[in-house]
Amino acid sequence: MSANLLEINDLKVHFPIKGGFFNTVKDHVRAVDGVSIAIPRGTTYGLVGESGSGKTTTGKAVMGLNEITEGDIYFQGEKLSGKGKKIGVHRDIQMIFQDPYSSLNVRKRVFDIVAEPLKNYEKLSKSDLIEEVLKLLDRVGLPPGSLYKFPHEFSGGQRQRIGVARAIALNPKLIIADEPVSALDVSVQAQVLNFMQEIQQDMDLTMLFIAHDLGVVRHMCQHIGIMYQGRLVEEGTAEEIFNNPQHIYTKRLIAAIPDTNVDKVERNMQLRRQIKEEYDQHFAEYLDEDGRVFPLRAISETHKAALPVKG
Amino acid sequence: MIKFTLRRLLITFPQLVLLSILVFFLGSLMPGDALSGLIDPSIPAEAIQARREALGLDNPWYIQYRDWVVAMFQGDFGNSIFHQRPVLDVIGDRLMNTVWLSLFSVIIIYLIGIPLGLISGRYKDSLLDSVITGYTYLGFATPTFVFGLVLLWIFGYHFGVFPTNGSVGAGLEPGSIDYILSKINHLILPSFSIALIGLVGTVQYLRSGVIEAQQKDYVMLARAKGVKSAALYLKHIFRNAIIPIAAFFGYELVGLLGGSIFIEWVYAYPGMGALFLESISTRDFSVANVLILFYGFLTILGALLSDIILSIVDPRIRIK
Amino acid sequence: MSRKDEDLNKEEHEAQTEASREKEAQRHRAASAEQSTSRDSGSADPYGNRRDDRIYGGTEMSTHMKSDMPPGAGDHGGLDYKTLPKSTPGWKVIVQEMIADKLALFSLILFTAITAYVFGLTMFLDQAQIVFVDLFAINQPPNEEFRLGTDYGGRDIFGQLIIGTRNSLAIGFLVTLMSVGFGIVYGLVSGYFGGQFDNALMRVVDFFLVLPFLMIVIVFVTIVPSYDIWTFSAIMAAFLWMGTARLIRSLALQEKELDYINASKTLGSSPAKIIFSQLMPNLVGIIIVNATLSLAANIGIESGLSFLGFGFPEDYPSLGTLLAYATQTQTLQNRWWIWLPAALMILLLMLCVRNIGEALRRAGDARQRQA
Repeated sequence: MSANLLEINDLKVHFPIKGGFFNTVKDHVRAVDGVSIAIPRGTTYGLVGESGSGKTTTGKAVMGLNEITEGDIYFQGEKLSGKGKKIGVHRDIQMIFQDPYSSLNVRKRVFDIVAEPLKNYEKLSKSDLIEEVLKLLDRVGLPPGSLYKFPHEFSGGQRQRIGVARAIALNPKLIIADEPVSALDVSVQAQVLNFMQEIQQDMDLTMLFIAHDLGVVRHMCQHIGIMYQGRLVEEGTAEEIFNNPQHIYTKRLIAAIPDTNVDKVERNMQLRRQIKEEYDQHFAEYLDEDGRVFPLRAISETHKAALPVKG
Repeated sequence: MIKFTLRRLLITFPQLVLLSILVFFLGSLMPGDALSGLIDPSIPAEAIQARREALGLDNPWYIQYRDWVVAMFQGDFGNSIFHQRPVLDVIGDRLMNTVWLSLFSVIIIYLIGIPLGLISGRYKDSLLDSVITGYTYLGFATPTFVFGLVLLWIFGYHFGVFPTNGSVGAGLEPGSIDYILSKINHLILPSFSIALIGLVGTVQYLRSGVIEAQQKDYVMLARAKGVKSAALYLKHIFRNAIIPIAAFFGYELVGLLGGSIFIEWVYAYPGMGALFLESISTRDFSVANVLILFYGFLTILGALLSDIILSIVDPRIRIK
Repeated sequence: MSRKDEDLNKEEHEAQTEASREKEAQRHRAASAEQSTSRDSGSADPYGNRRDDRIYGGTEMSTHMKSDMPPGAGDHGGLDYKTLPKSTPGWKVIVQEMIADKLALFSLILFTAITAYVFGLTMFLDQAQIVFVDLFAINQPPNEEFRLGTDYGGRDIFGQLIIGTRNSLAIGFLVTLMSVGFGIVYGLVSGYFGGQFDNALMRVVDFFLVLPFLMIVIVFVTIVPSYDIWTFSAIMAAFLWMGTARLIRSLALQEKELDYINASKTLGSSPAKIIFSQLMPNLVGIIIVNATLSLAANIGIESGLSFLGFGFPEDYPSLGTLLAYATQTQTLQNRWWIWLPAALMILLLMLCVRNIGEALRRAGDARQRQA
């Protein structure tokens, strides 16, 4: 059994563009175009990129919500994927969704929402089910009084807690968290992040944490991958990415992280301007003739970056 | 444009085939066949059997279907048992009456409906608008045949100003002025019954179209640039509100053809709708069958026509 | 409970009703846009910004309290789940709207009264007595014995009107139940699975739409062997489900993109479970409106068929049967009491049901609400 809980090898997800007289496939959108990720058991892997970079598509492919065009996905050493098919739903892989508003059914009470996976996989009596749901609510820090309430009676942060309760109900091994805090108030984000980290440690979860914000990822993840237009541009441990970024795109992302230290405002501004200049001048060199990112090359044992071949 | 039309035609073809198969099976479900009308107790059973075989009535259904379709392409739609004449002739007698009725109705609908809709939208919330809206409100809830009965009762019988049945006065020579006037006179009540209820949809559609257009950015801009109110309405608002109405012409006409069944019945107007009801009650199913095929065919054509007009008027449709 | 908590409670309550209304409204707005294809549009821009105002819907409270705990979090003593608070504010909007809309309220009361009256009374009325042919009392105008006179067979018109109304309503309900029920399932399945499957199902709908409805129904009515109220309703419903199916399908297509559907998939729920227990409850408002408006139409269609003589048999009168008497010149010309009450009853029923339906639709559309 490998040390990696999840391994994604050269994953491709292409969406067809249809058109013409017979509505035939004209071209493809390469949402994910050759991504390889390995996540060691019990760690959190941060997948970062701007919107449209394919990070959510990658997550959804692992969840079986998207068809996989090419590539293999291994979970606990077992192959999940089939070409041109969706992965079957797996009770050990669960997801926390980005939008806590649309991801909870407004017509369902908290009990029904959290009990849904339990009803699907475990035959429990009604009272056992309630017992179980109350335990889960307690675990995510919601009072028992929430049991029969509707989602609209909760704030965004609370709703995300409900989403977490639902995701951990089956004691999964892998959680895919798709920008779980990006829809929340900044004041609540830290709370939810801390609490997710607690749960992860308590339950020994492995997590694929998808975000567009490097700052958020820094606190959560041991490994980080940066995506751009369906491909990874850089991958490494959190320290490597933050202390020794190689790719110009990574550099710019890091420069964009806001800093609360007022004294450094001037310095940050200058740094940002300098990197923007470098980015504007040299970014084209980081793409091949088709405008695609180069393949990753190893820099150290753990650190890889998509640097141009000329070196 | 041409591409859209061709693609739209591609959908039409299987619809026609399906329709014909459906009608064919309806026909075989109906009691009686081509020989029922000829049966005469004096003819021996063997002779009937021989005729059956000659007509192919014992063949499998797809052969019979093929023969039926081929015959239709050759202009043979079978014979009416009741009238003892070819179905096509029977229908031909009634065809023009229904066409005139529908045409009259459509003209009245547009002649009255469009001004009402535009006025109602232009002077929204005025007294006039309230009256028109009240009328459409009642019109939506009134079935055409109920309205037709009331009109017939009031104008046909109570005041006696219009004829109460038929399509033309008796003893008039076809082609003479009196004949034409009598025809028109017979058309007035039926077509107004259809139109006064039928125009309700057009009025409502136009009204909301005008109100919607008033709030569009391009209208606001024109207004801000100082375009006069009258010109604004004529050039920008009305035109945009009327375009979809024009495009629905095909649907409208076909809808009227079908809906005229009630009115032809109420006014004993000898059109195709009344013919259909007569042929059902006289069990003359060969006529009924061809009428269904004909109306279905017209509906498909009407939908095709409207879609094509729409695609010319509204480029967004083409992309779908 | 501290004062602060109480304040919070109040605020939270306000936030939730507001949020739920907003949500409800957006849902229905999209639907009313769809309905406007049936040409009675009242609303412009149906695609309000669905998501954005929802996101900041109920979060004000978190600025009050530093934690995102719900109020009353501190005081949970016993874990008796039976006493835990429940809440259902959604239907309140509808009730409020109904009361505010005087016309709709009046229509609702009137419609309920008529329905109760005709169904209640016909339980005691002797149907055989009413359709009994009494040759000594034919074609009587309204008098003391026969409140609305009699027909050519001396049958009591008032009794026939009551029974006819009941039969028309009953068949209206039955046809609506069948056609809307089938349309919902068809639309949900088509929209949920989408793709080529949806495409094929929609071509079927297109085909049904081009059939000459009235003629086909009449033919089926004549050739069906065992003809009763059930087969009659089934025949009508078989050609009336397409509108509902189209409407529900287009809404399901939008709705299934929302993450709660994805969530259900990843949680291992079967498609049937997702469609009927997750997706359908979210379209319930539209379904009710659609069913109400269909009911009005179906009452009209049924009476039309009976009027032509292809509805109920004569010993089982509907409103259309009474109107059919008017095709005889004598009756139409001189005996208004036979057919006019039935005509007015149809008008009344259709207006009532439409008013109720329109009010329900407005209840779903915040901008048109009157409450």
